[in-house]
Amino acid sequence: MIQMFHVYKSYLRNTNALEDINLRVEKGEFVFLTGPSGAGKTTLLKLLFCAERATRGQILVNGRNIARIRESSIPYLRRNIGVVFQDFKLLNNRTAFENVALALEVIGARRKEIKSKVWKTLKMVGLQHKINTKPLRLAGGEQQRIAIARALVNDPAILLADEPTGNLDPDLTIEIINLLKDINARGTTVMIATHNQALVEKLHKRSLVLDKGKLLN
Amino acid sequence: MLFERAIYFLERVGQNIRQDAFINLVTISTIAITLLILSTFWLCFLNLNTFLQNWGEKIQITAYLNERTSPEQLEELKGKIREIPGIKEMSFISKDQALKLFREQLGGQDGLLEGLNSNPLPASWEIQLQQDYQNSEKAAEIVGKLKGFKEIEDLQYGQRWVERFSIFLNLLRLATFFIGGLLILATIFIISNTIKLSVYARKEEIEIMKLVGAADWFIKIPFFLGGILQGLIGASIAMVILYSIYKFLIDAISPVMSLSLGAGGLTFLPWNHIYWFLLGGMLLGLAGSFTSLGRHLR
Repeated sequence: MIQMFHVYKSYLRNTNALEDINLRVEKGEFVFLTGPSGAGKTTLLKLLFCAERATRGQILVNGRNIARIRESSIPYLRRNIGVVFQDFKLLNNRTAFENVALALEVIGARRKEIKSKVWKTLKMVGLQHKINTKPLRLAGGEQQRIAIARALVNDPAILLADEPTGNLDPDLTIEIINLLKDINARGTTVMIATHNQALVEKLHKRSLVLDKGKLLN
Repeated sequence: MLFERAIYFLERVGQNIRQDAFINLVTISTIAITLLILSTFWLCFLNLNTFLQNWGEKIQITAYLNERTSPEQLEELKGKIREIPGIKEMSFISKDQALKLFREQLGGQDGLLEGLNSNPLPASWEIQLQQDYQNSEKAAEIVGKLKGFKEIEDLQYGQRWVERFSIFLNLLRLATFFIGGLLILATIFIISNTIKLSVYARKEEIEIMKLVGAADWFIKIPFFLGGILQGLIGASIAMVILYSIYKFLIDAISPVMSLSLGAGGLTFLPWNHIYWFLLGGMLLGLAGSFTSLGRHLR
């Protein structure tokens, strides 16, 4: 599902944020991307949804080489990749429903379809009763679940999460991770970047370890 | 599907306007002021043009006579001129009368004429034209016929004054275009900045939209539509204000003005010009959003 061949990313000359990354993530896999802060986890995820472009190397996502993808094709790539962030990135002046619906509106879905899909997805993350609540009136874990619902409402093949539990206490962390495991069980490939080593050890999933921009074996 | 899209975009425009009410107000006012200034210039130009045409039509021909014309020839000439179609009336000004008029025009300076041994001024016919012939084309035709008489040495028919006024009008038109061009540029600049502000205010939203796969055009369209709408509102306001000013002036000074301007009096912009101004407003708004979004959405 995801493959990287000799991928480099440098922001300044002579310093590589990522160096010679080679990896392969199978369809339906659940992988952690770990390492200390500044190791390059976020940069690696950004390359996958084209928020950043690789300096060198090839990246295949779902069989497509995205290292040389045209600017105008990026939106279509992103419709197949859900992304979740540590800070949720929700619009605080919109309700839970509107936040999730945004992902369908921008691809031109019909109103009826939007209604039923948003409802289903909110139910899946257990927040169907908060459909008309705005993010600031929700707890942190609930906000993250809204963000996950928004990432999933399009049925993407891949879900990327960048420190999704970084702002949450341990109980809520388990709750969110369990949700992501459920999602993975339905067939979505899930890749989670985290520096929470305890979490990784508890879950017994494959983890890719980054350190100073290099992948360790 | 298309209809649903259109509704969606219009809703977004409405949302944008509500959320940044102040920024939108600034944009609309800028467009309104620009177009008000431009349309005021244009209205002045149109009215002066009409005024010029009215006056141009009141053409009087002066035919200066040859020195050697005898009284008999004069009578004969009078009869021939009368036969030309379009002549309403004609009055004769003799050499002496001409000199007397000239003295009167000189006023206190008539001492200048002391040294003259003989009267250098020619006698002339002042010829009034019939209503139907009072335009420069027909007048030129008559002048052509008058030129055929050897007794007539020179002809003058107010053309010079009309030409001078035309030059003034052309200058005014040029000034309108020049000032208009500058104003339009300044307006596009201001609009593009206000739209940048409103893009900046939605930075987060735009970022999220891009993240979930919104195409660039999908994000831009509401801003373009907003620009067009602001332009339309601004232009409408400009037209309403211009009309109010016009109406006020008409009511205040019409009796005096219509005397000097002739039967036509002052007129407002014709409908098709109003449409052009409305369209111009929309284009201004569109241009403003275009220049700000081109680079800003990256």
